[in-house]
Amino acid sequence: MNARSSTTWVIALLLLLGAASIALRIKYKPEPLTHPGESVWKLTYFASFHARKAGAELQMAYPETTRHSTVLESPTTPPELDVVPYRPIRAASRKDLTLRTKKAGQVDCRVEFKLHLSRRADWRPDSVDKPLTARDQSKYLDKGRGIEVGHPSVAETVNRLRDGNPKPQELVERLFEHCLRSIIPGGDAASNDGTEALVRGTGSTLGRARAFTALCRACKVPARLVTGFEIKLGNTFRPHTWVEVFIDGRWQSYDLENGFARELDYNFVPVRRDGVELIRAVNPLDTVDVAATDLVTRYTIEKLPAPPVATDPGTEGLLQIFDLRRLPVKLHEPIKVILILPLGALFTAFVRTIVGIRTFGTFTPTLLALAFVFNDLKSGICVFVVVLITGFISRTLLDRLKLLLVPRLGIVLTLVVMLMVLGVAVINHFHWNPHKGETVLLPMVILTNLVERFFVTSEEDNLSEAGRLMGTTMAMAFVIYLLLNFKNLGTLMFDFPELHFFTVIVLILMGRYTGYRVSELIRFRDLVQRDPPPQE
Amino acid sequence: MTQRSAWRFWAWPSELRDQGILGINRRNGRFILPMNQRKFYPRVDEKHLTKKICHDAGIPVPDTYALIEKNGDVRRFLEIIGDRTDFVIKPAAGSAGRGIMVIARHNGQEFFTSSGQRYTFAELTYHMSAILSGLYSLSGQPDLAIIEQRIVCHETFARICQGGTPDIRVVLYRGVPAMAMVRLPTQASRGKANLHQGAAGAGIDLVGGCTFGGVCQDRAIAIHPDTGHPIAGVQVPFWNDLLQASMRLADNLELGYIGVDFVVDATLGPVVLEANARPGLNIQVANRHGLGPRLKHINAQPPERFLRECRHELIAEVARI
Repeated sequence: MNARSSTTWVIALLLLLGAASIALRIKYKPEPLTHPGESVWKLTYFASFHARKAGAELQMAYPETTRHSTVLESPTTPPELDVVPYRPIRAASRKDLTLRTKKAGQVDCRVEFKLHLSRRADWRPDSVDKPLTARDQSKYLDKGRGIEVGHPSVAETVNRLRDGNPKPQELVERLFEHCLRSIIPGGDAASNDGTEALVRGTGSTLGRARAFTALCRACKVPARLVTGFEIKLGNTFRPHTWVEVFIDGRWQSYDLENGFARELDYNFVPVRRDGVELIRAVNPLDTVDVAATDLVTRYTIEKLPAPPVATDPGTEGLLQIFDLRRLPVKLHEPIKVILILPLGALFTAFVRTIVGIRTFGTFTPTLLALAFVFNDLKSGICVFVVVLITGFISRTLLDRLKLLLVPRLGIVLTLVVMLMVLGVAVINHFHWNPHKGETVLLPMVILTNLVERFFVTSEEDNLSEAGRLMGTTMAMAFVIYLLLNFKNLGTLMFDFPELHFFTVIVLILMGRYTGYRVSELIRFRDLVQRDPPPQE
Repeated sequence: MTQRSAWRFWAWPSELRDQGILGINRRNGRFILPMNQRKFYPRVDEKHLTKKICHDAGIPVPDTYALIEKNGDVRRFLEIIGDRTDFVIKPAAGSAGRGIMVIARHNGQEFFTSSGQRYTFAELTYHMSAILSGLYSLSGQPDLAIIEQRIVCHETFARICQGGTPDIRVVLYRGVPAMAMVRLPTQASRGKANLHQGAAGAGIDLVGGCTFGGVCQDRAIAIHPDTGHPIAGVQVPFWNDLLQASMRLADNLELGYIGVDFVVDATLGPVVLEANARPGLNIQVANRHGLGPRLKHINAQPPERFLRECRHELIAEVARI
């Protein structure tokens, strides 16, 4: 069998394999899965109240989707109440659920939410706190119910703790420690008022939170109360109030009861911000007196049976190996990127064998692009350019020492590492990389080789040739970067990795291509006769 | 012949096809991959192996003075050189003329290249260590340094260009010379004989060995850019010996598609510098002619025409295409 017919057979086989596996996967699409360390909970709000007449309204705050918790389905609402579409009234959040009674009289109702909780998942990976508007700013610095910012005892405490003029972060931590130590938890009987708690040295959960809020606000640090739940099994289940403080463009959580500073545990689910009541009786827009009275609220939590766990071995047969969704959530994003990598190779093959553009190293652009995907692009490019230029200059100076290849490469690598670490430190110092807390770690060996090749090319050919090659390398890296960042493509490849059978087919076809490269159409153009000059 | 208007900076694939131009994909896919077995590649990639094959087959090559295999040998360098006044240091697995140092005279302390550049003994030994560490080898693998006889360029070519060594490249397909060119270093190529680095080139008539045409930096030229000497119409000395040597080498290498590089020495005549399993396609530009039809013609011949004594007829046929 010659190469041509073998190629035909291999392509036919791959086509068949690809089509068959995709068809099978579509036919037997498995159920959604959870992962170890994840749990599903049923959160129930109970409310009983007296409606003076039909049309009394109740507003319920909705559990928020955080990095570690999400509401699975829309809540089940009681049939005896109507759901009112969102209206911009009072402190209603867009997510609040507003219910309206159909008739007068005593109403007992319940609303159920299904919560999905995971220690490892990240449902809001890119969430960024919005900057405060002027209105928010004044609201979160002003006095509020139980939060007397201007009280003399607040001012006195603040003055004492502000000693040495600390930065906001340090100041807030001092205030937090002060509240933890000098306001003793007094149980429900103690005062809910912040100032009272501060003066008496004891307070309820709410009183302590309010005292801390008042102190923060007195220091001109925006702060607000947050009420939500700590999702766990136990005898008592009730809303819990903590404080959020706005520092350096982020809201940080402080919980005086549990002693959490800056960040809460994964099972704390905020429900209402800047408030305490999760269920409130509200007046509809048109009237002032139609309202629910004698509101009594209660909350319960129930752990639902765990859904099938993703990595339970041997539960559903070997075929489950092919279901990538069973892998730990943490792995999903990297695997998606890696699965696009062959498309980068496909693109590289296309550019090199069909177009005929040369770059430094065959897969250097692909690997560079991969590195930029896992880093912040802007700071990544900054570090890249600085490392490259400084590396090149040092390499030029190093040439005078006449060092042998491997030790010299070692020195360039060391330089690259040091420059990169310095770059990371500089970026961190000036907060250029505020959203992703991660560092900019580019592939150092690739950078080292790039520096070396750039230098060698500039010496052996000339600087413009080296610059041209660097340009094509970067341009290709950028195109592949866009490709790798194409989230939908990643998800598609993740769901159907067998699509790569087709990638291989295209690569085989390219490998059998013996036509001209685009660059050759220009390179050999003079071998085709020109028009004779026009005759007068 | 197809026409191309002056403003059009590209040629259509059909035009190149009509001219029989061989593209790089076709060269790799149809000629190199099927004709050159991977296992024979070291015979051309490592120059000391090529030289050994040439030596065994009686093909003239520059004398090897020494093969430096380890850093310890570098120190014995002066011993090895003895009383020789000129020599060449080159990496065994180098490519594109990288790492070649031509020493024309020396006094044991200072070494001067043919262009007059001065090196100290320390710089020379550093250069050899750099070769051994693989600086100039194709894949960065540790390499050997060859110290060999310096070839003195035949006056025919020495007249045409100053600095660097002009060489003659013959591309052979299945042992039959298919195309040849002479490559003349220029100042722009910094003494290197590679067309893509700026050297000038001219086609060679396979039958008579006379140069024709001329190309530099992808543009047609008639005279050498540095010396103004005409490039075309130069008779290559010992042309028939050169062709014979190239065919013998191709047969001994057992590679179906190769380029053999010669230098015509003033006293030795044509000597083989190296062979290449992936010869470039610029030879088509130098000849202003496509390789495609010639290779096709050679491929169409019955086996008996490839016998050594019959090849001359075949070469004449190929040259006429």
